[in-house]
Formats: sequence, structure tokens, C-alpha cells
Amino acid sequence: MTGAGGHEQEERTRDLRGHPSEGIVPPSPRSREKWRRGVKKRLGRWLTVGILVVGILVGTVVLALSETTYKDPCPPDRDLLAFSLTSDGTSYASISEAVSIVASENGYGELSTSERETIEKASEAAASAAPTADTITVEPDLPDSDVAADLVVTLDRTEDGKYIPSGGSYCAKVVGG
Amino acid sequence: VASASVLVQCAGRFLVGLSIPLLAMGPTAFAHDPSEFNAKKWVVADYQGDITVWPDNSFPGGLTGTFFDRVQNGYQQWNALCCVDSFDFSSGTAVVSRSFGPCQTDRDSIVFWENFTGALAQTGQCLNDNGRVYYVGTRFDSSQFWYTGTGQVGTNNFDFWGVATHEFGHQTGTWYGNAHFTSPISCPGNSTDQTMCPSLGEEQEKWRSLEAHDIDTFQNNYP
Repeated sequence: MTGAGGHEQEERTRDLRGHPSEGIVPPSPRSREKWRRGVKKRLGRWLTVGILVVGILVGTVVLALSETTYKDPCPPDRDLLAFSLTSDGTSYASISEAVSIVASENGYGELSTSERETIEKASEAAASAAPTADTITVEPDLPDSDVAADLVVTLDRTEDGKYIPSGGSYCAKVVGG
Repeated sequence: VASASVLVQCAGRFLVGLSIPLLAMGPTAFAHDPSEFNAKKWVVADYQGDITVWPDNSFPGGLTGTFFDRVQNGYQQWNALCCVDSFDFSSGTAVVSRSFGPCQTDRDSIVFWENFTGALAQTGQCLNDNGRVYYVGTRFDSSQFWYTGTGQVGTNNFDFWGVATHEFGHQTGTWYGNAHFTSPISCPGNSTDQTMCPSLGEEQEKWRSLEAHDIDTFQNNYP
């Protein structure tokens, strides 16, 4: 090697060997500047790789969390049954009437006076809690029926202020072998 | 200015990293992500064909009448979609009458005919402890004026084939509970509505076949 570059290389090699008789030769400003640029470049590369790896890891965690783990909300002898209701266009002026119909059609049969009162209170509370919402969810605390428990009913609010049941869920009794 | 530029560069690199696993999900995942519909899958590991429909004897004409013909037309729309791991409805023999309610551990799927209030049809899905669908029931309201043919739906009638196709979409678990498409893009309220939009008017036959978003969303749930 010739020229300044070769000379610097020679100096550095000598430094690394650390000959005690020669001592440590201080690097020239040019070689210090070159070294600094090299370090900066390497750091930049590692930073880029690091940020990319962190991004991939965060993305993977986000994906894993989006695959929600299911927790059965029902007692051991029951499973969650979620249902959809395909509307025939019938709407109800009273939200509690709509919920009562869904309840009686889904395992609660003929509703008692106290059950109707419970539905009424829960319906009023849900409607007043979301006065402008398009969808309302009512969770009346009804005593367990033979086949259904923990009934939840969702209703769509129409533009003229009526209600159409759209679905819901309950903890259904599990039968069969 | 220099530090802001570095910040922008770092954020850019981070987003590139973040998008790698997301892109790995496939190009259509963003547009029709089943998680948007809280989608569930059936217990069968490979989603293969044991999703047997057990019709109740209550259908007018039984298993040979036009009602059950349209039930079959409905589930065939979903069967036709598949792919490597076929999701396959098939018909079983009639079983005894039952109510909609209990989750039946000994049957795959039922459809039946019943006079009930407030809806054209109702589909419910039972989930096991792992959040997988293991039993599904659909009941059709026998008090409605149904059109069971394959032509133009008559005045004041509802299209039985279309409603059957829609209900089997729920039966696949992809539109779990009362999940539906709701955006004006998917459901503009005309003949281009996706089949899994929430409502069907009288004399409309738009739900018989599946549309692009129905198909993509289903296939993202059952790739």
C-alpha cells in the first residue's frame, strides 16, 4: 500500500500490537474523522435493523392479540348461544315489548309479571343511556329459564324511533350425548 | 429540523417492520377481515364437510318439496366457494321436532320450520369452551308469505331461497351472532347489496347468490 492510506493502516496495526517500546500513537485528525464516520455508518445500520426488528415484533404481537382468546361466560352445564334475527320489517314502538317477544321466543316462554317489569326497567335504562344510538343492547336480569339464562337482546332503532330486534345471546342448556 | 427528519425516518422504518407481518396475512385481509364480524370457526379442524343439515319433518313437502329444495340451494352457495379445505353442508335425514333453544351436542346443524314472532328467520350458534362453533340451528317462520320458486318473487312475498342463503352464512360462523355487513359501500340498499347485509325487503331476490365481499370474508375465515 502506498500513500496516506497505507501509512495510517501501518500506524493502526502497530497500535493494535501495542509495542510497549513504541507506546500508543495518537491517530491523526483525518483518521479520527474516518473512524468516526465508520462508527456512525455502522450505528446507523444497526439502528435501522433494530427498528425494523422492533416493528416486526410489535406487529406480530398486535396480530396475536387480535386473535382474541375466548372465555366462556356461561356456567359449566351451559354454552353461549348467539343468534341473529332476520327482520320481516316489523318494528315495535316499545323497546320492552320487543325484548319481551325475543325473551318469550327464546326459552323463557310465557313471561311472568315480575319478568316483564324487569325487562321494562332494563329496556328503559338501556334506551336512556344511549338516546341517539342506532343499536341498543338490553340485558334484563331474568331468572334462569329451563333452557336459557343471561339473556342479552340487541335492537336497531329506526328513524321514526321504533325498535327492531336484531339478535342477542344467552347461555343455553347443553343436551345430547 | 434535523431531529425531526431523523424521527420521520425512524417512524418510517418502524412502520415498514410493522407492515411485514400484516402483509403476510394476505392482500385482502384489510378489506374483509373476518375479525370485523367477530367471526368464529367450526370445531372441525379442517372445516371439512361434516356440517350436516338435519331438516325437521315440519317443512311443507318434507325433504322432497320446494322448501327443502331452496334450503339446499342456499347452502350450495357456500359449498361452491371452496378451496382446499372445503366447507361442505350436506343433508341428513329428518329428525324429531325440537325447539330452537338448547345446544345439541349430538347433531351438527339443523333447519326447521316454526311459527314464531318478530322475524323471518333466526339462526343461533353454540360455542364450545374454545370458542368454536359446534352446533347451529336455523328456524324459518312458517307464518310468513314465502316464495319458494326460482323465478321472480311474488307480490308481498319473501324469497325463501335468498333468506336460506343468508342464514347459512351465519351457520358458517363467519358472521357470528347478529353480525352483518353494515357499511353503505357493502349495503347501499339496492340490488348490489351483499348477501350478508342485515335486511331483505319483500319481492327481493338479491340474496340468492353471494357477492364479492361475502366470498372474500368467508374465504378469509376459512382460507
